[in-house]
Amino acid sequence: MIPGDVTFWAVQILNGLVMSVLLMLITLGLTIIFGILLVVNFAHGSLYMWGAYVGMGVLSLTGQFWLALLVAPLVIAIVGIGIERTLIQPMRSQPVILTLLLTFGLTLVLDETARILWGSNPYSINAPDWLSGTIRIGSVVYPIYRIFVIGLGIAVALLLFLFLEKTDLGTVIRAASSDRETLEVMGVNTSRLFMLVFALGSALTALSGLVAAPMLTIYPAMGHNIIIDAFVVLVLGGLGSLRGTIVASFLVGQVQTLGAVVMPEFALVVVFAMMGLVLLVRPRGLLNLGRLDDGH
Amino acid sequence: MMAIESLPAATRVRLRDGWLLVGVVATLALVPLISPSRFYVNLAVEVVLLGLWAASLNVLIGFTGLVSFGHAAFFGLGVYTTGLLIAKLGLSMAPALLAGVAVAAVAALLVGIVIVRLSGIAFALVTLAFSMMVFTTVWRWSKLTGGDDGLTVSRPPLDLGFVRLDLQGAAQFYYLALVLVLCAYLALSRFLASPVGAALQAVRQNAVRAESIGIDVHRHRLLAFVVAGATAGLAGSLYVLFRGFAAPDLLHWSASGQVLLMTILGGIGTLYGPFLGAAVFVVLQEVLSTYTQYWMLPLGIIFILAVRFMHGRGLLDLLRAMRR
Amino acid sequence: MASSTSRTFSRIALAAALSAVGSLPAAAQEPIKIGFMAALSGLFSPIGQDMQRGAQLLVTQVGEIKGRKIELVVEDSEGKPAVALRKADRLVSESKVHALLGIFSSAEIIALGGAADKLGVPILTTNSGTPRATGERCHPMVFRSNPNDAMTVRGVADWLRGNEQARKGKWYIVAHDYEWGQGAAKAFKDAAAKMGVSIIGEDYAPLDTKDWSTYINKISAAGADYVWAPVIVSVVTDFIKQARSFGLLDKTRLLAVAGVTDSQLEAVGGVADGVMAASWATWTVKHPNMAKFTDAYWKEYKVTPGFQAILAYNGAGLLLDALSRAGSLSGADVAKALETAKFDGPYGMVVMRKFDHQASVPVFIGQVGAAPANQFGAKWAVNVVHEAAATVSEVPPQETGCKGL
Repeated sequence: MIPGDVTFWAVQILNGLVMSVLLMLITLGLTIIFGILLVVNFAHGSLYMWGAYVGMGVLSLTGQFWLALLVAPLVIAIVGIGIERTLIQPMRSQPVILTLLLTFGLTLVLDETARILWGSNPYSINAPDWLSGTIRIGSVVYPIYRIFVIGLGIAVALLLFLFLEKTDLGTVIRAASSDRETLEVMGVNTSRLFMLVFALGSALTALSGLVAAPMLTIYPAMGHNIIIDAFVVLVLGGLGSLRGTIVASFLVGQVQTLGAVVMPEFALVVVFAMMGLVLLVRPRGLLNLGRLDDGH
Repeated sequence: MMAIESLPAATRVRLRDGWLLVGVVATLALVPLISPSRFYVNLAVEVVLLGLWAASLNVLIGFTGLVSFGHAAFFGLGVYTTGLLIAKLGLSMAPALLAGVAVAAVAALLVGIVIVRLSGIAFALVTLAFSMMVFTTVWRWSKLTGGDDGLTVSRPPLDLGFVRLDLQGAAQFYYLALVLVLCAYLALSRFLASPVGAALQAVRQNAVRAESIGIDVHRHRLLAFVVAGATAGLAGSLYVLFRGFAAPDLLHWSASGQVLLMTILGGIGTLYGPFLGAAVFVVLQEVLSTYTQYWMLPLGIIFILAVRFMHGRGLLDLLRAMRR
Repeated sequence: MASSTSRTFSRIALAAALSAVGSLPAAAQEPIKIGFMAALSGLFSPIGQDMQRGAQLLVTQVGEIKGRKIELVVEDSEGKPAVALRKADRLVSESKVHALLGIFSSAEIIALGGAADKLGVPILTTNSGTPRATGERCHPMVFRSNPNDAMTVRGVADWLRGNEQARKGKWYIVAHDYEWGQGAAKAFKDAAAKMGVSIIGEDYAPLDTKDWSTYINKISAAGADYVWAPVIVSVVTDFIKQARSFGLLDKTRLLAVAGVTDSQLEAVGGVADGVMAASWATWTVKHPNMAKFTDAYWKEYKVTPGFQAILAYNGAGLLLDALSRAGSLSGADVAKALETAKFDGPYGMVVMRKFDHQASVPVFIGQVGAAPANQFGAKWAVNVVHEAAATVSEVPPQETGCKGL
């Protein structure tokens, strides 16, 4: 039974946007890291999960959600710096495929460590009071928290753009993605740059994990599910392209939500097929903005 | 132009340490005779089958230089083809086994044709996408496959025309598995030692140079991909006969990750290294899990160290280095 | 002389003791081993841990049978049938257990049932719901001590019979799209058809659904009064939280078919207030035995006794009863004794039914609300709204699908 009410469909678009924001935050991190370091970080799903756990910890210590929103990404950024310095940076002269394998092993370590620290029992946190409640949209009441998530996503995307376009550091980062050698010649400390970029990418995915937590259960394998969707978004948007990621997150979020209404069984298979197809015929992503070459 | 370089050419490849092989096989043959219970025999079957799966992955990684993150797909196709043919159509062992290998090989061919021209990262991501497609299809199509609940598959007899063997016992199946895996191993050995195999390694070391001396890079990669896929299919078909149960977990990307772990752990420099990796993995899983549920942690750490400091050369090289 | 008399006395006493002991089998000192399997890691771990605690409590309390110590050998099945098969084989061949107990999910009991001949020991599930395990797939070695889903639906139908508002209400079904969820949905539809209860919509959500908002919106748009929700218990809190955030729970009554656990209630607190649950047990059931059980449980573990713990305690009770009456510890003898086992459990008598190896037990329909005064510090609990007695909830033998054991 599919409702014919226009408001219902408008609300579904909002629901899709919520998923899109979660995916976007994770994948922006992935795509920035790839664009600058040329590394696909398989541990990104685990960092998402850690963001939720650390956020939960801050929340239970201080009772302040906004504090958790600031502290958790910061903590995970520091974890990211640690990872980059000890595992990624020393492997820069090695074939990149080894770094890929390394980040995969990192997932195992991060997952198990989370289980040791917090146990494998699931946790639940509630949205803070100042974000609970609903607003009316036509005939539907819509949770304020979800509006907040959508707003947060837009804000982060804007901030990121401003940062990259308007600040000196942002310009350097953008330059690094297309011409690393020249930067080095000009005396820019590319090593420090990579560290910062990895930290930024980690912070973004941690933020997504915490933001998702009031809606979803927190458990050690919570990243496994969503990281695959993030990889789909990464590929469809074109690896390394921020604009592509934003568009692809919107697309995938809507497809998932609308697919739940219309054709749940095979929506997912179609999505993976799209991912494979794009890699084959349009490796720079649907909008041709990415950096992946299909050469051998 | 951003080419993803292939793995270091320094990786030495030794295919057959003759007497070592004989010794290992003889030891393996003794397992059912010295095991206090069938639990250990089953453990050995697990090692042998997972080892074959990991070795097939190494045909891609160590010998051809292609890293696949979706090798569970071909293992799983073997599992479900054989499993479904037995459970739904009542086929006996031999045809079901052959069908499992055939389906995996054909799938590898069809997928391989389109993807072998891709570079390292793209190739890895496509294999991931493909395996998730297979997983999702099996998982969601629960009317056919049982979905998340899995599929019970009772072990049919092995009907060879002139003799009919009911291999219900643990030791009986063990010997069958041992014989078949040994045959597969020897066949792979042969293949890799042949001129074709040498061409594969040339492709791995430097694809551009290989092309320039006349090797058809795409064709050779495709061949390796099909061989690896078919072998993984064999391992999977045997596995479902062994366990009597098919579950979609075996197709998930985490399963692809586990076989990758086993391969790297054992070392990508040899064909038998991955068997060692599988042995370490299975033993640790069974032994450690009685003491702690966090047994994955030391494995993950070893894996990271292996990649970080030994560039994938794994345990075998570590042992050799220690012996010196 | 005194010393020789006392020596004679002791010799006689010793001889008497020896002759009594002499009638016991040679292995008198070897413990009786029960293989316990449940999901102890992963998403279902709180439930598996509850189950383990429940079973262990009774084993600790009883201690020994006929002079032999009872030992619970525990393995983690991760809630996955493939792992359960491996661990079961290990328990039987390596640890030499005399029976298997626990078994968390429907998929696991079906898989184990398929291997029951090879395993050769009785398998008693205290938690699996699928009616098939004691229905079409009934097996001489497979037993169940908890109510199955068909019994749950009969209990719900009994509640509906007495509740006109619910009977006349508009029902929506949201089920997880796999064997258990589909089975529970169908059973409800059949019962609803017989009672003239109207079902205005049904949706099947994939197992990995994280965002329930679309389904919630559809339920709202349809104006449903009640929702029949066979959603796996570990993510039902997602569903409840999201439903609450959309204001759905203000107008619509949710019935969580897999129940809601006390650890979940502790985590979400008041968000689940008013949610109904098809409960196979709850510590709020008023029965003299329940207080004794909860006291002992709290004393031992300092954790609120969840319903799966109560069920596991009952299952262990049936098994221990069988082990104490069995002619020998062979699989066949223990199974034979299990067929007539009974146990006076926390909410009353639990009796095994020989026909299909399904125990006769009541089904409780509960509702989340403020917890009655308790020593666990629990603020929320599932309070009993209706009890369907064993005679009401049991499925007539000819309807089970089992041909008789």
